Amino acid sequence: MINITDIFNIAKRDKWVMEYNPDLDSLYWSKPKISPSTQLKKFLQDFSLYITEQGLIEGLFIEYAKGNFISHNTEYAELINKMVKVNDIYVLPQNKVKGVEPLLKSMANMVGNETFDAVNKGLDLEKFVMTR
Amino acid sequence: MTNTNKDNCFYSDSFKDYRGKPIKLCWSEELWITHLNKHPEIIDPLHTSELISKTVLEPSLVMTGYRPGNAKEMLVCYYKEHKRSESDVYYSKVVIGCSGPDLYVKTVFMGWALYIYVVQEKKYNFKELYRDKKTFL
Repeated sequence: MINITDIFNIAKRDKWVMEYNPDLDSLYWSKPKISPSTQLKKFLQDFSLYITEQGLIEGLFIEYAKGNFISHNTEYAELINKMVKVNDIYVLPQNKVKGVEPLLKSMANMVGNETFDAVNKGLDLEKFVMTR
Repeated sequence: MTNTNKDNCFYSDSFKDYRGKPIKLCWSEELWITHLNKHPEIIDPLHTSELISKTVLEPSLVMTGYRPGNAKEMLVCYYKEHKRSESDVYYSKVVIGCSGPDLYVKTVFMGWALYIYVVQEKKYNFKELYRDKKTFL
């Protein structure tokens, strides 16, 4: 059973990192290295989820972060503003995570709430995430 | 993802799209690893090249335009359906940048999505360049 309501704690436990690629405007909040059996699953407007064959969540991916998601949810700009450049991408340093935990929790809740809405509108979540 | 200096290509290749237009790829090792870490389905350069080639040569849908907030670089997004069910599709996406002398591969990945959420570019007034009559995208 996919645990969509516990993303924030999964992220803490599995030491997810938040990375932003300015060239693509892509935002990742995920395990540093996604497992090979994982597939991207997109059943929400802005978020794709990394989900393993066992239904475990390994991360979130937003394709157009600043251009779309953050332009509609401006409070999350702080996440990118706190990142530091590492080679060609931006990374949220571990020592800044504590300060943005409410935002991360809010993003995790947003995914959970939007998923519940989608399920209420007829999405068969279990079937969708398990389709390979 | 950004192309790097040609002298620094860990993974390089060239492709032709459905129009016969040449597309280059030149990723540093660091860029390759960054990409592989987030998109493990690309497996290795051989698989990645096959995936890119299939997607740009026989796409289901091709969109072109500028991503929101960046009017400098024109993009071409190639989508290819691989599997489908009544509500969702397993697809590949290749994003090509057009700002250099050659068209070049910025990113490639695969995933499942509900049909309504696959083509993000529809929201940003990208123009449709090509559509396979059979596609649901």
